[in-house]
Amino acid sequence: MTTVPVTGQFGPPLFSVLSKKGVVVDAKWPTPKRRRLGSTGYLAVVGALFLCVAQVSSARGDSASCIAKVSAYVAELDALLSKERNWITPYDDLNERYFPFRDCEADALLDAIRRSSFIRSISYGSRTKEYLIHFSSDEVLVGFGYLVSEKKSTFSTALWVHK
Amino acid sequence: MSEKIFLTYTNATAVPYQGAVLGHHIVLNYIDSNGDHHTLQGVPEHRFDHNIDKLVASGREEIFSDGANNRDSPFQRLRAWTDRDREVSLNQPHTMVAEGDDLSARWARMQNFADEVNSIGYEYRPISQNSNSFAGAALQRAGLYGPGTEFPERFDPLATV
Repeated sequence: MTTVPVTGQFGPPLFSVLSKKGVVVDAKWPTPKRRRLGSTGYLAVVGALFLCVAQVSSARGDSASCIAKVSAYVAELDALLSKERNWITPYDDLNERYFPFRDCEADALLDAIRRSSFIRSISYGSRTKEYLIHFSSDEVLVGFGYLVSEKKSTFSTALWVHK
Repeated sequence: MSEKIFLTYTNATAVPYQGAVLGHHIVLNYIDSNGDHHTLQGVPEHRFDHNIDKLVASGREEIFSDGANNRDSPFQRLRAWTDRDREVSLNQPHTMVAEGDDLSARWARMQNFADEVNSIGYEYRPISQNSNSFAGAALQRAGLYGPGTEFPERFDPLATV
């Protein structure tokens, strides 16, 4: 191993001073007097409940469409990995067509990718809350990252196993 | 945790049917403060299954091509790809380039360079414009040097596909 001294190349560690979050003290909602809900009020409550249900349904729908997209990607990727060993461009094109993935529930996403015949590794970073997923044939390695909390993919790659 | 930027090497090509290694392929590595392992490397768009095919293709590009046509390389374009993993092994041969508290800006500059290479479309030339010259130019962009304050190889930004 050759270690290259880098004395002088880097300055001292950078420190950042974090500002405290502003906290509102002793704030109170104005509550002049209690009122019973009128018919308009009940309608507003029902409307709000409807909107909440619609939003939950929409989120589930987004996840379902995302999983469908991942499943389609895995199917195409498997077909490609089983036949293409000399050109990286088709993998490039495939990734361009499918990425990014958004709004997938992580467990469902992992179920979808585990159906691949070429799944090589799934690792999880607890600090970054990110899954790193790799598929591989004897010649080509394909991978991407997925942030669990933000529900979105971070990068995608395709490389030769042996250049 | 101290961050690191270092180079690793894989066998790139060998003497056909004999196996002696003729060249190494350089991969740029970055371990960030979270312990995540990032890699960046230049690869040819088209690869060959056999060393003899690779040598013939190398001759076509480096000897018989006059360099005027930037779309005639059998290897096609030089593509830069980044990858991430959590398996970090410093037991394999490597060259440490930099260690510091925060090397993220340096790594970002290398990634910007990779984006430029991909967007412009450089022809892959097995000797004069390859994965190692990509690594050298990426280091240069980040203000870093390879072993002995030298860049692995120079990158010719004028030869585009």
